[in-house]
Amino acid sequence: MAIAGAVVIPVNDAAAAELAARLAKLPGLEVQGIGPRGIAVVLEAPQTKDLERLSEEVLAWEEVADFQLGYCNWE
Amino acid sequence: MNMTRRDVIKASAAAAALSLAGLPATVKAADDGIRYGRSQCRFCGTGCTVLAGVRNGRIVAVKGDADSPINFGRVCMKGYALPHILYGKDRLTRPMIRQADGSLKAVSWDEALDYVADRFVSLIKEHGVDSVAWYGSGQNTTQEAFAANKLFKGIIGTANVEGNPRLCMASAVGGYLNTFGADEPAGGYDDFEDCDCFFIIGSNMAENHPMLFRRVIDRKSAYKDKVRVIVADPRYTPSARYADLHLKFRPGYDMHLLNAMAHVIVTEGMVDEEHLAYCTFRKGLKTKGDFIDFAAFKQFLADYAPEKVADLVGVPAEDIRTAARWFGKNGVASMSIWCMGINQRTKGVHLNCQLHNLHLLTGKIGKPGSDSLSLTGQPNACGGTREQGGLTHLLPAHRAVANPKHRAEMAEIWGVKVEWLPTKPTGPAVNMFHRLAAGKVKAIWINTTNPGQSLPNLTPMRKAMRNAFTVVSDVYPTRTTELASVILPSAMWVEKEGVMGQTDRRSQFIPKLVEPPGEAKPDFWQIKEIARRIAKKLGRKTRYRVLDPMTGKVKEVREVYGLGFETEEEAWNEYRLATRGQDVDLWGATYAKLKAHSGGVTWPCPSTDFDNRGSAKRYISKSYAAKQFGFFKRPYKTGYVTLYDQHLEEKGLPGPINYYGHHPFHKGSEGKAIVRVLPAGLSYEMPDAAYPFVLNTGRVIEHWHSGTMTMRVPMLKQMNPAAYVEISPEDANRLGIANGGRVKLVSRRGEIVLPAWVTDRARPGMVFVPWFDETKLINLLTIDDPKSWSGAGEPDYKICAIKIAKA
Repeated sequence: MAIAGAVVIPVNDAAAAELAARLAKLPGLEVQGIGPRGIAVVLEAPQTKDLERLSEEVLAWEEVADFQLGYCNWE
Repeated sequence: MNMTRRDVIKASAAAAALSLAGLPATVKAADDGIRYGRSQCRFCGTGCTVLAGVRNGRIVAVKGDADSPINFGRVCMKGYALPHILYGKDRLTRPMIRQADGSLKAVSWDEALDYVADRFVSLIKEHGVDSVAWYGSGQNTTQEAFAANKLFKGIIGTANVEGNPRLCMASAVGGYLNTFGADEPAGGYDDFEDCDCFFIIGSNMAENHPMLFRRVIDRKSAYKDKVRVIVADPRYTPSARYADLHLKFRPGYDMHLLNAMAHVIVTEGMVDEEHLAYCTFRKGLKTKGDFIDFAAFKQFLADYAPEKVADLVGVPAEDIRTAARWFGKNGVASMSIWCMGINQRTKGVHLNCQLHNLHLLTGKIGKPGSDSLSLTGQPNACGGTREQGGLTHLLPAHRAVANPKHRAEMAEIWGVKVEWLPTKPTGPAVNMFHRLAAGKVKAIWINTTNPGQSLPNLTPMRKAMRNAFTVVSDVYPTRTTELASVILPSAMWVEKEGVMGQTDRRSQFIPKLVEPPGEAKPDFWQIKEIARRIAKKLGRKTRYRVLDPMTGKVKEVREVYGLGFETEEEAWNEYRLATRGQDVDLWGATYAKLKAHSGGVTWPCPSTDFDNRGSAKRYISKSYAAKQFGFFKRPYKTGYVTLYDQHLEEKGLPGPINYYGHHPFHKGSEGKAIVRVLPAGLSYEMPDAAYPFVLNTGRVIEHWHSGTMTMRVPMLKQMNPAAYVEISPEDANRLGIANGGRVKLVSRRGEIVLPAWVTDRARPGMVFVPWFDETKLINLLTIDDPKSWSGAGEPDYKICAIKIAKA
């Protein structure tokens, strides 16, 4: 089990709500809220490499400026 | 709260994410009808501010306080488990006295208190004041520690006052004193957000100070290419996994490593010549060695060129050079951060001084993002023990037992006769238990700590406690209560009120939010009641002065048997008076101010002005701070801290930098810090042919200290239920040990059998065992020989020699 907390930073603030909605559709990802410094998300996957894959996928989106990991637990 | 382990991990992840996004970190727990009170986490020395939720008289929820300048609303997995620590099924709820047949009999409080006081007084009368002792904790509130200090040093008159912080941060005190002449750091937590190079050594922050490590991650995440994280640790810990550079040095060879880094700094032009004007160079520790000049210091370091010591250290020379360059580069803000891997060592004081040396040489101190910051392991080790003076040689507020002026000052403040106070220290913690074993100390009151599990070389220590008159105040049955003559059931965390002080000179208020179970009582009340009884039997009255908390004027004088102060607030005010005018000035930390400000107050804080929350930086003047930071105050949501030293300002000491420590070590170097010239040495018991492995012990993320609290949280216990031995794949293969297989560990003092965890966390030649498991006492093997202690009397829990074999 791997669980991470992260913030997804949109390229511009106006895109945040739309981006949050798109993120919410990803399996294993929960949107916690939209704040002044980005979109708070929790990711859950069987292994950390799956989390990595998920974060890389998000980072590749055009409307995403950055993906910052704030917490990671793996066992 | 009925959360699964997965829920808690997800809540931790969510809290971190929300905080990063700039949102208040709230747990997704039902909070309808829950009343929250601001408190401080009960566990490590970070001091995370938490909001504890009360419903129907019970703590049912906890969340991080988003207003806190410490954790910004985040809480780690242990923090989320806080409500559960109160409600273990086996809480101690009645005083108990051991009977002749070894059984424990529940008695009334009066009977227990009278019994303890009678025994202590009869021993004092028959064998002298040094036949009794107090062994407290970095988990006592400051008021409890102050009360115990007043009872034992002020009224009874013995210096037999020690605490478990001796086992964890005494070397850090020695390091600060030897370097600056004054204890505790120059900077603090705010430096994390300005730091460019984190040099973390002897600390697995990711597991043991996770919320501070989150701040390292925050900084690194925000400035990926600019910020560097260096972790120096023989183990490949989660902290090391995160690092840009991991210096996996051979256990014991970090003195060589630090001198090698200093060598690179002085030979590659990274010395701050301007800052050197505020430093002197002296051989050895304390006042033993000669002062030398910078040229001689540079010559001394010639033997530590990275290429000369790389093989000894076990780290490539180029990695040592890289670390030194990242740390020392001009214009870069650097922090060194350390904990028990440095302190719990034979050379612990030396290592602390070497870390300070790196900052003094490069001038990376007293500036934004630069500081040498020793992390503490307990929530009030700094406040209750270091500042309050809860060790044998100390009196409150950085005063010394051996100093007649200090004794006179404390006698006046305590309202006792100066001739009652001890005139010299007795001995540090392990020595005190050695004297207990030898029958010189005959009675000991152990409060809020578990030496039956935590002392080194446990077999003789446990026997000593069993044979003596041992009083234990605690909240659960422990490996120490099983040795006790009397057990006093204590209130814990938000079942009582108090103040606690953390790593960066910070003090926070903990309110009482719920009632303790059964007849359990606050330790403050226990100390007060026993003090009343002992003082009366000794015929010693205290002249207690009730103070106006804002002006310090005496409102009333009480001549009483006992401590004088009746409430925690009265005790805090007397303590504030003791700090007034000292470098650890908390006069401005009124109860009202502490209650109002999330994250509390940082000393020196001489001003009672409500908004003034103290000083974020020490040793620098207002004008210097303005030059370095561009401003000299940092605002918080409530109040502000100054970026200059308010003590320096108040005393009118000259700036711009003034290392004003008035300790005797500083004679001949007033106003300056001392770069200590220290040839590299090793721990006392290094591996040899008979005992070829190094045993390293420590904590894990799920559990705290001896597990008394966290092992009663089902989720945390489930996550990490029992001790194990970390062993490297290389060693495991060589010895035929499989993952999960049984391994016998033998030292010169004891042996134990544990399951193996074969992992690349371990360095070949070294094994690691956590000490939280009361059923597997790893301290049966660790070393208590005085020759193995640091110069500050701290035992070496990180290096002793063992042999291992498949069991």
